Amino acid sequence: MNKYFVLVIIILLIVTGGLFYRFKLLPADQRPVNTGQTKEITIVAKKNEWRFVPGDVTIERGDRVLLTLVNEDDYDHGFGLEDFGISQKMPALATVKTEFVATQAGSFTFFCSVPCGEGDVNGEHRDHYDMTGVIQVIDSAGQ
Amino acid sequence: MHCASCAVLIDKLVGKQPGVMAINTSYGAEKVALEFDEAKIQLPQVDKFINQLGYDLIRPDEESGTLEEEEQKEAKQIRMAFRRFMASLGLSLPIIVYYMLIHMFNLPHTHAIKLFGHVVDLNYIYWILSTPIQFVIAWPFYRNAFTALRVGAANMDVLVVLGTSAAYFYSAIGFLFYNIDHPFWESSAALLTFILLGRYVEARAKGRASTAIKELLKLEAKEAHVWRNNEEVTVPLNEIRVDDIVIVRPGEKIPVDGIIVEGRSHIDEKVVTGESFPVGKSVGDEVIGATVNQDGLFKFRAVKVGKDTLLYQIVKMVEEAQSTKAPIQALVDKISEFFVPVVVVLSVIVFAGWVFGAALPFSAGLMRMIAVLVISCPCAMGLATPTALVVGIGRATKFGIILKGGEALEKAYRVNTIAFDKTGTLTEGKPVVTDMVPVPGMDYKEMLSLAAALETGSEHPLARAVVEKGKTELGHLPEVMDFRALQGMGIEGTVMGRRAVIGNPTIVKNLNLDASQLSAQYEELQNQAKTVVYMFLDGQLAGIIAMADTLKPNAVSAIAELKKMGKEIIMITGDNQKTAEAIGRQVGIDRVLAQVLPQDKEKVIAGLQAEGKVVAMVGDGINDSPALAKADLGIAIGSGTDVAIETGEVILVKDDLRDVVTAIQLSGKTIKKVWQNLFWAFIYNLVAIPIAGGIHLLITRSGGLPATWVVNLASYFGSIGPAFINFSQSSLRPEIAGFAMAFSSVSVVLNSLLLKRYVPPIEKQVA
Repeated sequence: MNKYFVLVIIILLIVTGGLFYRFKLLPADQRPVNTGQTKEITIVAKKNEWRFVPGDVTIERGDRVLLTLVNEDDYDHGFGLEDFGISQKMPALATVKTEFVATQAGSFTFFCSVPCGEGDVNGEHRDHYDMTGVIQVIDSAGQ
Repeated sequence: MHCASCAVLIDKLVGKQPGVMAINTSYGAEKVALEFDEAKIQLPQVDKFINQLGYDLIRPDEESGTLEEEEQKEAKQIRMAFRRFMASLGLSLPIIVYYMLIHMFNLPHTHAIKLFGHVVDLNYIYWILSTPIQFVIAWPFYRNAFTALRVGAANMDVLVVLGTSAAYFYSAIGFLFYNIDHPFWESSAALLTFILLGRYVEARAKGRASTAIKELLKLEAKEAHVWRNNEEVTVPLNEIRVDDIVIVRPGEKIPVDGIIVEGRSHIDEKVVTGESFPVGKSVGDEVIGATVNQDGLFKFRAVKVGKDTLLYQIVKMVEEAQSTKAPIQALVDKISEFFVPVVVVLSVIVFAGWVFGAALPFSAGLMRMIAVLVISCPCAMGLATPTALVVGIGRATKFGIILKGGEALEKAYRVNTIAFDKTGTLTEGKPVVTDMVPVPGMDYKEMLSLAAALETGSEHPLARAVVEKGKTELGHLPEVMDFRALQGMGIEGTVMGRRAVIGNPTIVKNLNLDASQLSAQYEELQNQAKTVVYMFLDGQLAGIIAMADTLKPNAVSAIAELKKMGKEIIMITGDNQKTAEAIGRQVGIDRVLAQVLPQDKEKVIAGLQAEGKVVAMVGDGINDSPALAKADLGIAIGSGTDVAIETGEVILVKDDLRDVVTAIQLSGKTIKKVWQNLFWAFIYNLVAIPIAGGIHLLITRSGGLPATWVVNLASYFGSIGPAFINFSQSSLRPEIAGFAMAFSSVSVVLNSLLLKRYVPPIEKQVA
């Protein structure tokens, strides 16, 4: 029982330390922002191009982003934007919707999270690993 | 009891009860040794308490398991383990193959199939396949983990349950409610299948110790001839009472312990004393139950019957020694003990780091926390020990060494002291003629011919030694006439017209013969712990014949090799100090424990263990079996008795003592392999843990984008550059989980197979 006690204490220490940092020490400009503004964005996995379009999305910090993910391919893709906890399957020839709040500013990479092969697109060789994009979250209010 | 932790749990909780002074539960033997104060606690209370814990206390007097039942139980366990593995394999194979192919070869795929005109997401099928694996087939893991957690131990089962549950629930909940992109169905399915395979292999390799006792009881005589109301009646063994007069005919087993009241005979007491020469016994001498009457008919008075006989004492000693033997904690359990809390703390740190530190959404932290738990449990962990054991044990079998299970290997590896039984183990256990000294003027060949011819009349093992020598050296032996055995002194007869007498000093005195001519040689040979007899022809001394039990062919080199390995060698024997030391000198053993009574061998081993030594006992006789059970490692000689073979954890089939060296070396090699395997099993997952937790992002990323060094490095990689960037920017991807799974399993299996290259150094010398 003793071991559990120690373990629980350690976990509690980490969590309370984390909470304390989050609410007391975290610099004001890094605290999550939620403005309540909604923004609709559609990202398309182009047919046989191993590319997200648009590959570069710019939004405002605090935006509630309503994501529509369209898969034009007849095989599966995935959409991973791990920093905001997004990890969605994009089934073949389907459209899925998800959402997140861009609470932090910065550039965030998203990527295809389901193996989807490779191929030549207009003379350029592309594959699953090329299928990435960036979401720029701009903090116009803070700066 | 279903796991090693159960034993700890029982010890801990029952030990806390007032009145319980000592408790020792053995998982392997499923026995509990209990010492308690009857004034404070009664056995039924203990029984009730153990029942509350979910176990049954079967008291010694109500135990009814016969050998067949026990064997059936064991076979059933192996069958169950195999069925569990097959069921798990059948269910998980489609998942594993599909995921592996797609993830490792980056294949485009649609995660759906058409069934009866409907498009069905494959994940439903995976869900249906993996749920029974997780909760039905793998239920024992949950049960064991629960028991382990109750005693405050985190064994391998806890780690398995933690990792697979995380993977399963993440996948099921994520798939059913959150449309997640990559469920980890294959992680839990493959992991459980591999571990079930490992368990099955281990169950097969494990030999049960309890059969030794059953073997011992087989030795008993079934019935006895008892003198009652002036007639001889045959009664079953359990009807013999103390003071009954028992009649034993040649070739029969002596039923119980007693004292001879009439008649005389030679009795083969090998089963109990380990002594290979039949012992001459007459009125007033003790006889022991289960020993075999050789040539005479005698009557004896029963002194000890039923559970008081020496045989039952040996049974009890073996039983006790086995039940107090501490099980060795498996290496994986040891690692898990430390690994589990670390993983739990690490996952909490990861969660707190992302959610509180980086102030990112809850879901981002949770995903990574789960990823840490999923990757923490290495698939190949369950294979690490069994594959090495199977190869190690298989290799040992090639050299004629049977190792009973992993614990035997692990113990052999730790042994630093080796105790040898003398008769039958270090020595052949039967006498041979070592010296033949004729008086001056007497021809050696003539002497041998006459002696061997005379001895053909006798059944005594010493006589056989002479006959054997004569036959091998001369081929043909003359005939003996008027043969007569002189009880307790020797034999006489007429060979080729000459009156020959062979006997011990008593015969010299009784027949008033003169043996002074060779008295110096006689004494010298006797000092070498040899049995020496005189031979007279027509009343004149013809020579002396010395016989001794000889060392086994490779005893000396085996002992030398073991000494080189830094092991302490001890010889235990019932012989007198002088004989023991003589043999000890010949074979190169410094520490000799002589005049050890058969029933005390076990105590001698306990004494050595009390000195802090890890003791291996090498023996062959039934009298050695308590010591074999008591020793940390019991090594039985293959030519030995069934009981010794059942009791020993290592069996040397070839009867070559050098195999002791091989067994210990190979065990060491195998255990090292297990360590290496565990390293290979864990390393990929260990490396993947920070990736799963996204800890690598702290250095591979700046301002949300790939760090400059990552981009620069990627440009050197050419076509795989984008893959490198992609991996560096994301956390636990299914490719990583699959990679860790495949590579750790392959590494472990290959590493185990390397053990096949082991050749014992002794074999190399010969080659």
